[in-house]
Amino acid sequence: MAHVPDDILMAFVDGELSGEECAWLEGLLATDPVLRRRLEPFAVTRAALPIIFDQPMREAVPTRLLDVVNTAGLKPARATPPPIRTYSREPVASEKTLFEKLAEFVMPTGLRFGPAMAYAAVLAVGVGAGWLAGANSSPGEGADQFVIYERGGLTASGKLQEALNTLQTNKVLTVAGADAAFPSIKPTLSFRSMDGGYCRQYEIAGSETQRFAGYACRADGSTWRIAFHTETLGGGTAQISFNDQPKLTVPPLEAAIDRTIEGEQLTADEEAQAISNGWTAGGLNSGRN
Amino acid sequence: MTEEIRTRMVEFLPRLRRFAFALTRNMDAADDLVQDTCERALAKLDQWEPGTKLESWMYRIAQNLWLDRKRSEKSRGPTMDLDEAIGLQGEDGRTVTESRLTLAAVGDGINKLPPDQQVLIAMVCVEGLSYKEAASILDVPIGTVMSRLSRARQTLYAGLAGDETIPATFSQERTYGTRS
Repeated sequence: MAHVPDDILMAFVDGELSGEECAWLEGLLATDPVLRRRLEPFAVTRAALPIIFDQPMREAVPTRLLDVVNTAGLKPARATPPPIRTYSREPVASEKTLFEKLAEFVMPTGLRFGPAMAYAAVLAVGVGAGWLAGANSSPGEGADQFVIYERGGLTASGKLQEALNTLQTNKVLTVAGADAAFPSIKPTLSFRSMDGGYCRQYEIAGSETQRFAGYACRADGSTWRIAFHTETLGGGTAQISFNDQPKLTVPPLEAAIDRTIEGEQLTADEEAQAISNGWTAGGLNSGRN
Repeated sequence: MTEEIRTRMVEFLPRLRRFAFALTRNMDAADDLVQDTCERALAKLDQWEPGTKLESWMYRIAQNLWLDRKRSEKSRGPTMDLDEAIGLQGEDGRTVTESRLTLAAVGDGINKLPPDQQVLIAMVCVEGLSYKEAASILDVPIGTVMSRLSRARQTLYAGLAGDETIPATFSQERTYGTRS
């Protein structure tokens, strides 16, 4: 396993590495959950801080400051202040919560940043929690990578992809294994996004104390593009089944879905039809409008 | 010449205010710092080398003034007033509450860092300056920028993740599926 210094990981997040270096590091990150985890401090601070301190970018500059710049050091008789320009590089944002703004980074069609920023966005939404569910986060044999990083974004893989493709909501797929430490996956909601595509929310109960929640949207063909994925604060005891566990409530995740969902969640019939159609957008409008 | 510089300064004001806000975490204090920075810059315009970036020069003046102020305030205790700054965040009560906790938590975390690290957080994470630009403003090697900055971000993140401040933001409305 390669050792990557912290400042190189940070430089990756900050876009300070060359294309070659990025490709090298992406290769390592794809297979090394520990390394991905070490990105978090840098990704979160990079993504969240400009939003937290953006008040000055959303409001007009106070007159007293404009006056200082326009008049200080000038003899009054010669004062011909230049026209006051307002700052227009960024659109004026409406009042949104931090998590709503962060969620915008990871909308299905919103993966418009380079790989480093895609990481940053996903990580930022999961601030304070782990993120990738690679079974037990141990990259050893038999561990199934549920979420993989492919060029351009995070994608459901393996059993997670299978569960999203084939399972009705609240049905559980238990990943076969030699012992009980293997995880279960459960779709918890299906809906259509404002882009017209299908999206599904899911939970993953990992071994020991790990639980994950997120949602993915159908991108093309058989791809489920992860729009949100986070480790949840799943308690301190071993919970490897969903029995007697209420559906997890993860406010940032729900806020993200609220901003994506078009209409209501799919009914069981609509869902069954979508499953049989392979979640293609073609079957979308049947029975609506 | 001077008129052109004034115009550039006016255009730069929103970002300078954001930089100052990230340093002071208080909008009034930030505007005082911006005002002092502009006055100083205009008074000492002859010290600016026209080939170089005006913005970099002003970041440098602002951070020097902030450090001076911080030193002189040390004996009088902290003056951070987050409530006042955060009160401006939004009319919606829920927005204000969430912003308060988040900005407060982050501000608190930054406040615990050494000043030279706070400056780098503001320059790189908030203002998006390159390491090279930050290094040239602060007149330190890039390696120093990187090591200070990575330490700062790890410390800040550990504080945020460790005390669960961010999840607690939502606890009044919904709960996580936490079980004991």
